[in-house]
Parts: sequence; C-alpha cells; structure tokens
Amino acid sequence: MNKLSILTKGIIKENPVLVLLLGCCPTLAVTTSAINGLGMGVSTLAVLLCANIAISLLRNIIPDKVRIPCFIVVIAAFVTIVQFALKAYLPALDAALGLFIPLIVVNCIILGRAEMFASKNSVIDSALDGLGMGIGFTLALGLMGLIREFLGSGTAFGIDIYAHLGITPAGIFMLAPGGFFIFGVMIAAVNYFTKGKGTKKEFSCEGCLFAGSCNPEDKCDGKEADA
Amino acid sequence: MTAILSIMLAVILTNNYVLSQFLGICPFLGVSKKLDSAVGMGAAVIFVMLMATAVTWPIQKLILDPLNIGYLQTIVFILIIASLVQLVEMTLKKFMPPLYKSLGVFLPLITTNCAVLGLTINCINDGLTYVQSLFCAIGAGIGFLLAMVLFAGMRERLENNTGIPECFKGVPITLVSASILAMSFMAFSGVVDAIFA
Amino acid sequence: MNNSFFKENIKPALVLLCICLAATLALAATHAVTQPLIDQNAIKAANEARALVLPAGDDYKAVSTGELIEGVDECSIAGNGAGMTVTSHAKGFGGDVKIMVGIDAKGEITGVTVTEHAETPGLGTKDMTEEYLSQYKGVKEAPAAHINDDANIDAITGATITANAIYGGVHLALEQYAEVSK
Repeated sequence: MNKLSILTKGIIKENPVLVLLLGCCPTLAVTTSAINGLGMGVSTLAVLLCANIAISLLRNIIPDKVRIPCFIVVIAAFVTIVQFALKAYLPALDAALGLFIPLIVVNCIILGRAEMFASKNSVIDSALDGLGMGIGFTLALGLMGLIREFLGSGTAFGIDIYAHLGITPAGIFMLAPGGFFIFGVMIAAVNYFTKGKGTKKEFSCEGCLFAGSCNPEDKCDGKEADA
Repeated sequence: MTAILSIMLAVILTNNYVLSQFLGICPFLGVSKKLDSAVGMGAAVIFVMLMATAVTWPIQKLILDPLNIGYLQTIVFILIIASLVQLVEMTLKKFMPPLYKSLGVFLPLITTNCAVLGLTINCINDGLTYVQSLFCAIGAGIGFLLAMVLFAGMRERLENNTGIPECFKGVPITLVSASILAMSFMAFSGVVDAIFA
Repeated sequence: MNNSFFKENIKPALVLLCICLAATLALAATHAVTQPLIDQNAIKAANEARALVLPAGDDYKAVSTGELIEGVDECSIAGNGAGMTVTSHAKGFGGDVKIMVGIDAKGEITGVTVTEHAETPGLGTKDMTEEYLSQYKGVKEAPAAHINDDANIDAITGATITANAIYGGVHLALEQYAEVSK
C-alpha cells in the first residue's frame, strides 16, 4: 500500500463515520453547530495521531498479553492532555463539548486503529493512517454540524443566514431526534450515491476493539453476529 | 428520598442516557435487533454501571481529591471500568455459569460503552453524594434497558416492512426510527420536575 | 524462576507499570503548565459575566458560603461600593437554570444574565435574550410565587416555565441582597 492511499482511505473510502459507522456518540452529540463538530473532530484527530504514533513506537515493547490496558493508558493520557489544552486555550469550545472530551477515550475509532493498524505498522504509516482517519472524522462531523446548525438555528459557522428574513429555524434539529434523523439521512445519501456499496449494511463487530478477542463459537453465534 | 426519586426518574425518562444525551449509541444500535439480546445487554449494563459507580466514587473522593491528582480522573476511571468488566466476567464464568451464559457475551462490549464512563464522570461533576450516585447509576441503567427494549420492539416491526426506499434500508431507517423514539421521550421533559415541584 | 516465567508474567506487568508511570508524569507536567491558565480563565469568565450585569462594579469579594440562602450559589460584593452580584438557580423545563443578577447599592437590579441552562433551544431560550431580560432593570422586588402573578414582569407565551425559573432566581437573588444588607 503506498503512502498516499493510507492517508486518503480514511477520508473517503473508509470514512470512519459515514462508511465504517464508528464513533456514533460524539457524532450525534456535539454536532449542534459546525464549529463544535469541527472542534470535536480536530480534538479526536490530535488524540488519534499521537496515540497511533506512540503505539507504533511501542509496538515491539508491549507484550501481547497486556496490550489492551497499555493502549487504553496511552490513549487516556493523550485525551487528558487535549482536555487540559482546550480548557486553557479554548475554554468556550471546552464548555461546548463538555463530557465528550474525556469520552474520546472510549471512541471506538481510536482503540480500533490502535489494535488494527498502529500495533502492526511502521511509525510513518501509522501517523498517516491516524491523520487520514482523523480528517475523515473531522469532515463528517463538520458537515453534519453545518447541516444541523443551518436547519436548527438558521446560521452557518455562527453567521446568520436566514433568521433575519423572519423565517423561524426548526429548533428540533438541534435536539436529540434531529441528530438521529440527520445522521440517518446522511447515510442514506451515501448509499444513494454509491448505489448501496458505500456504507456497511448493518452495525457489526468490525472495528470494535474486542472483535479480535471475540471467540467465534462462544460469542459470535447469532447474538454477536448482528451486534 | 424525593431527591433520589427525582434523580432516578430524570435519568430514566427526561435525560435518558441514550435518547437525549447520546451516550452508549453503539450498543443501542448494534445489539437491539432482537428483543432477548436487548434485554441481556440492558441487564449487563445496569450491573456494570452500578459496580463502576460503587468503585469510582470512593476512589475520586478518598484518593484522587485528597492527593490533588484529579487530573488522573479519565485514565483511572477507564482502567477501573476495564478491569472491573474483566473481573465480573471471570467471576460469573466460575461461580454463576447460567448467569454468565446470558450476560457474559455482552460484557466485553461494555468496556467501550461510553455510557458507563460518562455516568461515573457525571456523578462526580454533578456533586452527587454516594447514595445518590448509586441510585443515579441504577436509574441510568434502567433508562438504557428501557430504550433498548422499546427500540428492539420497533426494529422487529421494521424487519417485515417492504415500503422502505432502497437507499434507506438497513442503517438509515434504523436511525430515523431512533429519531422518532427520541422524539417521544422528549414529551417527558418537564414532567419529572412538575411531579416533585 | 526461569526465563519463560519472567517473559510470561513479570515483563508484561513491568511494561504496563512503566507506561502508566510515563503517562502520569506527562499528565502531571501538562497539569502544572495549564492549571494556572485554567484558573485565570475561570476568573476572567466570572469577571466578564459580572461586568455585564453590574458595569460599575470592581474588586469583588465573595460572601462566605455560610451566609448564602438556599438556591444561591455565590454572592460577591463590589469593593468600590457599586453593589453586588448574586448567582442563583431555579428549576426550569430541562433542569436548573442558573442566572447571575447584578444589584446596585440602592437595591435595584442592574442586569440579569443566564449562565447555565438546559432549556429547549428556540423555545426556552427566547427568555434569555438581552431584550427580554432587560425588563428586570431597575426592579427592586419580585415577591410573587409565579411570574404570571406579577404584573410588572412579562412572561413569553409558550416559554413560561423558563421565564418562571428566571423569575425565581431573581427572587432568590433579591432575598440574598436583603440578607447581606441587614
């Protein structure tokens, strides 16, 4: 695989949000405005990039037995650093994202990339992979934030678009139901344009941290297969 | 007593972790296709949430706060949750095989369930007492179970629906149904406060 | 103790321990660098909110928590005698609505601002515009049990619960003012 394709696959072909359906919680929760979506995306990108580099560097030192606790510690450390940096330098964004900053730890994209890519590939490849996946995540969240902000508060990046014309924005798009709805429509749009080849047909174990440790006979019979 | 009841009702209905706070979406969408697995997952989540809160709250108040190392919160909490899940899995496997058979398969998935980590951090941030935190954990778990069960019922109906447009089949229609369920839960807003006003 | 025992059991534990230590050190360093900035931000944010509700105030001193009445979170008296700011909360539609009220030395409200809330966007937030909140300026008392019973203060149709929460917060703030000025 050449370097460019490692970088670009996360942006379109394997977009973590719209194609792999990973990291649904922050995708739905923080996309009430384009700025919040982009802010969350960039924070996640920073963690993903640092964690991928660190885990790739440590991949020959970490024993297989304790690799998952090690990954979690490395990721949690970077998440906390990002959290402090936001609190200190961008307090408004920190207030808007709130609880979802510490929750980057359990974002399946990051653990998934650590397990599936960074622990098996060179530092440069892992960095490119983290960068590509992070950009894909950021773009998807930014786009979704823009759509919800436009419909729900009549603005784009905080700039008034149509509210001054006397048109009342549909506030429901800022709330939980609007989040689910817009996400569903976005995936349907991806399906429509790729003729159903784009997004996965169903939510599945793939990309989950425990997909590998999941014993097929024991766990993936029926119940986990549709999980 | 009223404080505890109002905290519980709030996390079950108005501030439902899944449907209004967007926590634990992955298992909510992933494991809700069949009713029995939805119930199993929900029960396992209630159990782990209660255990996790029971352990993290004292650790925050008795170790992290007095030593002034609150900045280790995220790292400590996620490690506790991960090891707790492992411990519960091993204990169940050894001593309660029937229970392990029904809940065990869901346990590994719970480590990365952000609702559990979110709950433990929320209890600290909201300044709840130990008893309040424990009831908040039970309430959040029940709210999760309720959302799972209701949604599993909706999805079983969707299975046989032939009128879905091609590009909406599968994931998109699932999300649109979740949107409608979330909308129905919005009707609870204000109700809980009105009861205890 | 043979070599394979070390490899199987001791080494993983040691590696995990080292990674934990390194992570803790990195966090301690980051914390030491950012904490002063975070504290400054909190003070700055509080001062900005105070400047909004009580523009003449300066050099605030907080009243001790023992003197606060229930529902009041914080009360600061301006050192230059301009008055005080009170932060209070009351139940709205989606939980507590937290407000900051500025009260001048004559006991008149100089400004009200909502600092924290979880009300419905586009509905409850109608009660949080500067235009709506400006009706509290100059008010000396908010004695009614519900906003609809007070002829001097208007509620916005369809968003009465939020308006009433703000009214309740103002009521508490004025009570706190009376308590402190006694």
